[in-house]
Amino acid sequence: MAGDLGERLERLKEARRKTGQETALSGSSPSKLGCRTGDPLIPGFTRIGSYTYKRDVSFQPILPPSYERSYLASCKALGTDRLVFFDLETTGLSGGAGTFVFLAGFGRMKDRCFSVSQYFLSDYPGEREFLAFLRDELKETASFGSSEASVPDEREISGILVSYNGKSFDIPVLRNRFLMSGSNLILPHHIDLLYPIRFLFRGTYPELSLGAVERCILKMERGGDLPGALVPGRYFSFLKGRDPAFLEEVFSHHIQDILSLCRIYAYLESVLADPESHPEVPRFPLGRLLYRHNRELGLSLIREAMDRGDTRAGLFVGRLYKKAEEWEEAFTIWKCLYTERRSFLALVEMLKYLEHRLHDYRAALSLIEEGYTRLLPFEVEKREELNKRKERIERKIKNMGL
Amino acid sequence: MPDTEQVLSELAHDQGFMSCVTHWETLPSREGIFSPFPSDVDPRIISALKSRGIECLYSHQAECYTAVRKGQNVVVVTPTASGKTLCYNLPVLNGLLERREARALYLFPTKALSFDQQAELNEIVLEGVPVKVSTYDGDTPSSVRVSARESGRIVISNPDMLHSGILPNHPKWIKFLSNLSYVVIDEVHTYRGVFGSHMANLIRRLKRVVRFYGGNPVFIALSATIGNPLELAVNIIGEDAVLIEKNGAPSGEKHIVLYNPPIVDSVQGIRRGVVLESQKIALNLLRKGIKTIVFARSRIATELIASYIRKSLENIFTDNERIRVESYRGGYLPHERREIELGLRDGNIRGVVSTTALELGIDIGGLDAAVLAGFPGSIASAWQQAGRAGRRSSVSLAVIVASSSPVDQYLIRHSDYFFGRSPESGFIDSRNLYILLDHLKCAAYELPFTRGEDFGGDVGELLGYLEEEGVVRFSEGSYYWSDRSYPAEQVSLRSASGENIVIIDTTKGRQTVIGEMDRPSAKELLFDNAVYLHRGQQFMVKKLDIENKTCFVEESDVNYYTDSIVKTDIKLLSRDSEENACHATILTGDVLVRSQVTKYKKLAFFTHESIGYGDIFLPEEEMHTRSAVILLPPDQASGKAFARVPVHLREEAIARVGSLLQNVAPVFLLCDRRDLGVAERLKDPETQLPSIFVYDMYPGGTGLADGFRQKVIDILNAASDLIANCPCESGCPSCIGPDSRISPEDNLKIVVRDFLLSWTAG
Repeated sequence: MAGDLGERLERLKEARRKTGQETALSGSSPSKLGCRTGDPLIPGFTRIGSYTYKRDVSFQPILPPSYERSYLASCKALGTDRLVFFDLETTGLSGGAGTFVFLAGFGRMKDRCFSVSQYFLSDYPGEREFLAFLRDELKETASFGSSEASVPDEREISGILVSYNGKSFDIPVLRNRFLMSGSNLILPHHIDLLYPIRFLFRGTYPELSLGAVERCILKMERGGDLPGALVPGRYFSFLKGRDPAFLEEVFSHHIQDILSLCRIYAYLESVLADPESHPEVPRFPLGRLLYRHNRELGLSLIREAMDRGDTRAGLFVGRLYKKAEEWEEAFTIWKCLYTERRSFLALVEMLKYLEHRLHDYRAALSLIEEGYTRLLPFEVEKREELNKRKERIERKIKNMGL
Repeated sequence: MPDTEQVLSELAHDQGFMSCVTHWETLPSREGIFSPFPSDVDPRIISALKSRGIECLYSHQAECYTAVRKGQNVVVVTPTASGKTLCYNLPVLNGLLERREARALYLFPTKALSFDQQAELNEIVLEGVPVKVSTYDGDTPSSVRVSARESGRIVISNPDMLHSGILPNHPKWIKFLSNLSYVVIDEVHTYRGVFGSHMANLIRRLKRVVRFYGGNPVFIALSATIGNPLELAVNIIGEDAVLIEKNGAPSGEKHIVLYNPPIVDSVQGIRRGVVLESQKIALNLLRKGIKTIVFARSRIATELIASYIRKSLENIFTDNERIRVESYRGGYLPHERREIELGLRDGNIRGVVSTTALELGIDIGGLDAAVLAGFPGSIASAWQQAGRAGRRSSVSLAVIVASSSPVDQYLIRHSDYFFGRSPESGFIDSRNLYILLDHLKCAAYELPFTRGEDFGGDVGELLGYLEEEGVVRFSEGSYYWSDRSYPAEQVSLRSASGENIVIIDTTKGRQTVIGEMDRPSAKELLFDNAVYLHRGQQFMVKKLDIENKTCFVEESDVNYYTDSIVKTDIKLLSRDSEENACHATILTGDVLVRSQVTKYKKLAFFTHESIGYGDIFLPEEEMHTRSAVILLPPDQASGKAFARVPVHLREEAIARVGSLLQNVAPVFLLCDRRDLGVAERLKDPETQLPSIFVYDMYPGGTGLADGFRQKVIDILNAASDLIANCPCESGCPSCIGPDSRISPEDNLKIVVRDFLLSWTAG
């Protein structure tokens, strides 16, 4: 309890007075730490700086050498060697000034392999040097292929960073580290796969973390993998004990994350190029995503969703018709949504149309009356909405002298 | 136009009113001491000020401007309506126009005050001074937050936000912090005691981060009138400062009236209640067109007074006599507070009933009268509240209405005490180890510590302690934060006990959030079947769900309100130390302080008669904390002296010694009265002896109880001196508290004095 604090400080004071040195605590005395030359070797890694280690690991290729058309990168003819799959391991999740990056990974398609480079920071004082290596990796990605100066579109020739939740977490944390060490972060074009995943699968799965997507959508089990929550603890244990055994599972977990990241990329490109062979993806969001690039295909998917009973898809299609002023089509859809799916929004659209376009007040009123009968007792706001319209229409009728 | 002078004259001739007045003090009007705009002030600012009717400066505003321009830290003592905002806005705005990258941080203790200041600043800015002002606090939406960080030249915030939002994320603020030139700390007198220690540490952290980015700001602190404004401010900002206390603003004649409600039962000596009496006085003033603020002691009183006034004005034909009165307190939703503040500023609302929330300097458009329903806790507070009334040149009135509490009754009858005493001083212990340690963790999270680096003094040992705890790592000469946690999350600057309870209106199937309340207060005010008043509307509590932090209420219309009965209990849990000192035994240990509401009274509106009781079934509010305990064993001088106290007075006597200690200890412990709790027992079940507990009011303790033990001899001797030399006759708020017994035969003060003298003499 709080009362201990004074005593413990006394004890520390005594201990120091006796040994005559500062901070003679286990795990952090200089001799046990190992200075530059004595730093522990990390199996599989090469020492490239005082406190920075690196290794490159190759795997079977995950992506084809190129995509004829990439929806994710919004371009034609994407050479997959331009993509850099990127993930960090940090000492915490808070994203503030006290969160350090200690492991950074870059995965690329190179020479018909998928090659991952891992950079590891073995102690805090080495951060500046560690970040310098990362900066070089990112700069290289940003200016990738810039020797092909004949191509006009900047983006067509530079590398593309791919991450999962990188926009909200990894890049801001990295930016903080750079700012605090007084240097600049040059970023290439960045695609965060969390956004399309969320757009397509929100509501279908309760959780859309990288691990959850790997399990539920890619249908892959890692087996014996270190849970992400334990990673920081392993690093702290390594720092105190200087035993690289603590890190093995961290490194492999990290590599698995990057491989999965690449697989998710491949999956998404496949889904967007060929929706038919992915019935597991909900049609409505998929249709909306494709609608931007390919209206016909997008719309057909949305109609498919509507036909299967997705009310929101129906309302979306209705809205499209309304915008195009194809009233009959719109009205048919709304009527169907209202009668079969009790959609209140569809009812409101019908009333708007009857009141403001057709000026068929009788029909509107009788529809409102019918609408009341379908309301449940606690649906107060809907009742008030109907009241509002009814009153207005009745006023209009009166004014017309009918 | 209402004529305050006329109203005062009417009051002075009102027999009924005057028969209750114990003292009427007239403070003469004061001429202003003026100063022209300094020559280096940007013409855009001058023209903006002129268009708002400000043609020149007061002397203290000019002094402050000059000192800040020279790069000196400044402490300005400013009573209300002395133009304090210009003291800082002028040098800051000028500096920001001169240097395009410079930035300023304004810190206010409450959000309401921030909102008000932003509104005032915006008025100047809109008149052609191109400086972007942003607010950054808990209510700020995220899109606005980004813009505030990037381009806000003046950022308005509060200590809590600085602590958990800004400093831990300082790299995102790099542009702002590296160019930070001015830090304004308003209402610095509120940073006293434990809260003040937190603030001092927070400023240390701020300075550390700003230094890292190459900045070196000037501090401008504003204080109300307290005993030691310079000392307090210097302790908070950690640097020297210049004191400016001569107020150059003119003021109209001020009338302060001490009013004691009439006796309604002469046999029992019962007086008319302060709530009813205050609302009557306020109503009278409002009807005569006087803009009035009423300060009430509690939330219930605030709502009751406002309701009664509105009820009395109720008349659809005259639209409530066109007088709009609002109540104001914490627990209202942000937009409701804004609405009231705006209404006061533009005159829509003519009267307001408030708790101490509005005691702080929010500019609320010149009130002409203040009515205090009961004395607030300190002389300084009383003057601040009374000072809310009064504009530059007009006459103003403050009526202080006494409640039946002994302290109020003493003060109302001893006007020399009230007018003669200098206001209380504010103390902080900026080296309180517990608080320092918490902030050291936060500071280490923000930036690594190099060996030998200072943080309000040497912190090598504390860093070593943190290393032992495993949250920092020492490597190559620096201490790095090495833990996954976010320390600022675990440190609260105020002793908030968990999240608030949200109040939900479920009338007719609605689900609307109408307010919120902290948990301990919710147990006392929102128990099942309680009557809850919110801005004049009546609700009844259907269900208080503490676990889920919600309270469901429904509109109701009964003719009574409810008041709960709280019982407090203290229990010693451990004995960590035991020693003899000052002829008594002193223990320290952990204690459990419990307060429980078990019953409530139903009180009729207006008459406040009790019309019934109800039971409350709620878990106790518990707090584990540290306490020092003074025991009076029969074989030591203290116990022997106590045995000589007449039996029928022993309970009173020991309680009065407790009061004395509560008055004296804060001075030695460098804390605030509200940081300590005192409880006395004639025979404590654990110790089996007469016992006096002195405990920390913060869960877990903040070192005060242990500090008490270390200084107990000095404190007891000081207590004895205090009562021996106190000029009062039989007890006053400065020593043992007034004697409220009816026609006592013995003098309690003398009894206690002799007891202490013979105790300490041994």
